[in-house]
Amino acid sequence: MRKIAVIALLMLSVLPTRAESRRFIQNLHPVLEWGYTSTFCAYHHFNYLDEYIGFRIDDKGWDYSYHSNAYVLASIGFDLIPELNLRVSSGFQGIYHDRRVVPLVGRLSYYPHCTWDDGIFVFAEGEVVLTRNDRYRNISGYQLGTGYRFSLTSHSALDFHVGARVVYDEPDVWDPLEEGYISERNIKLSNALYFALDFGISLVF
Amino acid sequence: MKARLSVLLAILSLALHPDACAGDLSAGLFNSFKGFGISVDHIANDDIYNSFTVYADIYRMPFGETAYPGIKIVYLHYNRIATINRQYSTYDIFIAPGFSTGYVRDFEKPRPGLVTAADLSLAVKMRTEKNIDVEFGFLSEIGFISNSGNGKTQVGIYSNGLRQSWYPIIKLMYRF
Repeated sequence: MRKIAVIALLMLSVLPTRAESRRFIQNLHPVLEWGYTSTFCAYHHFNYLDEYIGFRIDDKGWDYSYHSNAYVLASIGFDLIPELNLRVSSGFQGIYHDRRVVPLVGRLSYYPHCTWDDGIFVFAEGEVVLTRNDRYRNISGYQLGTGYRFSLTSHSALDFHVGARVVYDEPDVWDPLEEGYISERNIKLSNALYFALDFGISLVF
Repeated sequence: MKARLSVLLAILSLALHPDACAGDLSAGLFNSFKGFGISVDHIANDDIYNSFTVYADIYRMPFGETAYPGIKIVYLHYNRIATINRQYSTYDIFIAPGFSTGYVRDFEKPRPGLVTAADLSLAVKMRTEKNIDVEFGFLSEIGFISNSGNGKTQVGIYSNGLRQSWYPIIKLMYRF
């Protein structure tokens, strides 16, 4: 009985008070974010057995063709301290030619003035892909960026941001001789990196 | 040709009318699943403003079915029907008839075509202490699309005008 009382007292001591709960909710902010991704170069390294010619092919190199993509994300942001915000997002994102994913993005933003004041901010983010499809399972992305926040009211803001993004992918390998994709069992290595600039807008409430 | 010229002159005379030129201007970005573009609003007074939007119609682009957007021009005449005042911002609710034209793709039509439509929009505008307004809205279009191909011109109902009515629109406008 005494043990139960001690456990109950301990639990009560760690439970948030109503004021703390309210403060926690006040620090949570829904965010709508959308933007344009300009992929300006990509690197690939493929190693596969080509059944048509019977040799193993090792193909690596840079591709400087330009690709346009876009993204739309819905997020929940949390102000850890007045200068630091953690945001978790998901939505729909194009990462490269014919590569579209549903990402799970985590972003840490630093506001030198305060999260709800006008001013410049910097951010770092990482993302993985939410999928059961093997074609997209190993995609991950990283971004470093900066932006400017316009505080609209005491509880809403408009952010304009730009970032340098790199995305790691393990894409299907195209066989130019047979004009089809190489069978997965013949692929030893399939790595690709996409380098892009992101231009985005966020509405924070 | 004469009829088109008359319509163009009528629109120009309305736009350049001294009463129409009085008032404030705001300009900004049009963002929607329909497409992305720019808007210019001529604010006659607190109750009425006219909006001109040019945007790239992205129908079939997000899933890679086409690489090229269409183009759409929209004119809307906003009339305030209600206002909600909050501590730090004001929300104005507008209803806006208008018209649109452009060269876009449409649902189940193989080729892009010329669109002419009558429009109706419902929008909520958040006015803030800053010079930035945020507008949330929806736009319905009822009209026709004419597609040309194989030497023939076909005119049909512009399906996307209604099918995309539920796509939200966010306009971020800067008041000059």
